[in-house]
Amino acid sequence: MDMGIKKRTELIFDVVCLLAGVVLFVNALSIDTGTTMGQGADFMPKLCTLLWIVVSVGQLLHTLKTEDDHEKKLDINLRSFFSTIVLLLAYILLLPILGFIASSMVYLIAQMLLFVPTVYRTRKNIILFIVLALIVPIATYFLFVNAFGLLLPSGIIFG
Amino acid sequence: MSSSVAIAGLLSSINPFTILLCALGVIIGIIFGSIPGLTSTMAVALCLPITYGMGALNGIAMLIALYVGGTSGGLISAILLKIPGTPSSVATTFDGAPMAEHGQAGKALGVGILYSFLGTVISIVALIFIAPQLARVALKFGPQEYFAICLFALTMIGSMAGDNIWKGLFAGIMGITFSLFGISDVGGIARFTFGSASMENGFSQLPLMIGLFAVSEVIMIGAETIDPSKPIIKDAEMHGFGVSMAEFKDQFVNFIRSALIGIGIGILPGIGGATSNILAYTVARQQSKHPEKFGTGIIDGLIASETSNNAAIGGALIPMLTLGIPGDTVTAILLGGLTLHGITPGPMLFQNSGELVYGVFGAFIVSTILMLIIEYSGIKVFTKVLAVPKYILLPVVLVLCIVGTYGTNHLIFDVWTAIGFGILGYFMSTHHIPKAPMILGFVLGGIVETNLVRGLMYCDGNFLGFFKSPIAAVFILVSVVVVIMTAWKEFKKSSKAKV
Repeated sequence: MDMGIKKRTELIFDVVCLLAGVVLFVNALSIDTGTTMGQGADFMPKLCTLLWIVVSVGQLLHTLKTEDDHEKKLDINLRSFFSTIVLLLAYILLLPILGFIASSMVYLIAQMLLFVPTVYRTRKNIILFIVLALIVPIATYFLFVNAFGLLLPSGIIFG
Repeated sequence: MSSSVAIAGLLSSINPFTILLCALGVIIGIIFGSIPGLTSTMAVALCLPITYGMGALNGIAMLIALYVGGTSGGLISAILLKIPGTPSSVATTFDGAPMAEHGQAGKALGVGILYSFLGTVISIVALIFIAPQLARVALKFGPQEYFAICLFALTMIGSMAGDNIWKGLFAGIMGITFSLFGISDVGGIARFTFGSASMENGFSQLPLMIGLFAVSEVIMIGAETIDPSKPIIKDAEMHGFGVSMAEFKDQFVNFIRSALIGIGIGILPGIGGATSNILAYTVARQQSKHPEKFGTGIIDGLIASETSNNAAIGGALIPMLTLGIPGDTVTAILLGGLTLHGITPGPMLFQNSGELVYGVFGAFIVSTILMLIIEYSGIKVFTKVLAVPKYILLPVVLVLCIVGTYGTNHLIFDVWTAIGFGILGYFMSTHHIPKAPMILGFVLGGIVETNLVRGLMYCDGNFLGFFKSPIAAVFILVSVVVVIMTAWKEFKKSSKAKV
C-alpha cells in the first residue's frame, strides 16, 4: 500500500479517535442512573459517546476517500517534539517538589535552550536566557503571591 | 425615579479619586486579561478585599473597571500570540492572529480595541435605558428556554466546521463529552472518573483552554522545522483607529448584531462572554457575503468577537442589578461586593439606592473610556512583543499560564489537565480539527444536560411540553432548520465533488 505519510498518520489518528470513543462508550454503559426522576446521569454519556463513535466513523470514511499526496517525508522535528513534551511533564512533576520558583527556573532555561535555533545559540543569548530564567519566576511570584495574594506551589527551595 | 437623581448619580462618579481608581482597575484588568491563564474573574476576586475599605461607589467602580479591562485585555495576547488571554477572546484568535502574521498587528489591535469600546457602550445604553424591561423578559427563561438556546448555539458548531464537517462535529462531540466527566449534577453519579478521586470534579474550563491554546502552541514550536533565518514579520503602521469610515459603515450591521448577541447572552445567567464571542463570530461568518475569507485575517470576525464579548459585560450586569441574579462569575463577585457595602440588588434597587446605581453606571462609562485611551496608547508597546523571538516568548508565557492555571483552584490536577489538553490540542492543530466547536461544546454541554433534565421534569417527561414555551419552540425549530440546512449544504458539496 503506497500511502503517503500524511494520509497514513491521518488514518491512525482517526482510528485512535474511534477507539477512544469505544472505550468511553463501554465505560458509559456502567454509569448508574442515579437519584433522579426522569433522565438519569447515564443518558447524556451514552448518547454522546455513541455520537462520538458515529462521527469518528464518518471522519475515518472521509479520510479514506480523500486524495493521497504520496509524500513520504513527515514535516516534524521529532527529537524536539518529544523533548518539549518531556520537559513539560518534568516541569509539572517538579512543581509540588521544588515549588514554583525553582521548577520554573529549571524549565525556562531548559526550554529556551531547546527551542533556540543553533544559529542564535550565542554566548550573549545564553546569558540572556539565564537572566530571564532567574528573574521571571521570582518577579512573577512576588507580583502574584505577595501583591495579589494568589497561591502558588511551594516546595523545598524558596518555600 | 427622577432624572435629577440619575444625573446626580452620574456626576458623582466624575471625581478625581474615582477616576483614578477606575484607571487603576482598568490597567490591572488589562494585565490580567492579556496574560493567558489569568482572567477578569481572578482579578475581581483578588482585588475585592482592597475595596472593603473604600466607599460603596469607589469599591464598585474599581471592580467594574477590572471587569472592563479584563474582558478587553484578552484581545492583546489573542492577536499577538494566537493565545486567547481569556475565554472571551477565543474567536479573536481566528482572524486577529492571521492579521498579525501578515504584518497588520497594529490594525488588528486598533480594531479590536475600538469595537471593544463600542460594544461596551451599546451594552451600557441597554443597561441604563432598558434594564428593568430586559430583566423581566429574562425572568421568563426557564429550563426549557435555556435548553433551546444552548441547543441552538451548539448547532452553530456545524457551521464552524469549515471544509470538513466531520472534524467540526467531532470537536464539538469531544467538547460535550469532556464536559460530562466528573460527578454529575444530574443524579450525583461519578462519570468517566476511571476510579480517580481527582477526576471527580471533572475538567475545569480554564486549564482546558490554556492547554488547547497555550500549551499546544509551545508543543508546536517544539515540533517546528522552520528555517530560523526567515525574518519575523514586524508590524506595519496603523492610521487613526485602524478602521476607515468606509469599513465602519460596511461593518455596521455586523457590529450591531454582535452587540445584541453579546447583550442577550450576557443577560442569561450562566452563559457569558465565553459563549457570545464564538457565537457572534459564527453568525457573522454565516451571514457574510464572503465566508471563505474568515480565518485568513479579515476584520469582520475580529469585530464580531470583540464587540460581543464586551457587550456581554453590560448584559451580565442587567440581571445582577435588577434582579440580584448574577449573569456570570464576575457579577457574582460584584454582587458580593455590593452586599458588603449594604446595597441589595433587586427590583427595589433603583428606588432605594438610585443615586448610587447611576454612580455605578457613571463609573462604568468612565472605565470604558479609560480602557479605550489606555489600550490605544499601549498599542506601540504591545506590538513590541512581536519582536521577541518565539523561543524566548513562549516558555515565559507558559510559566505565566501556570500561575493562572494553578492559581484558580490550587490543584495540580488542573495543571495536568492543561498539559493533557495541550497534547490533544497539538494533534487537533496538525489534523485540522477546529478548536472552537470543542470549547463551545464543553461550555454548553453541561448546561444543555441540566436544563434538558429539569425541563423534562417540568413537563412530566414529555419533551413536547418544551414547545409550549414560544421562545423554546422557536429556538428548537431554528436548531432543527440549521442542522437540516448544514446537512443539505454538505450533501450538495459532496455530490458536486463526485461530478
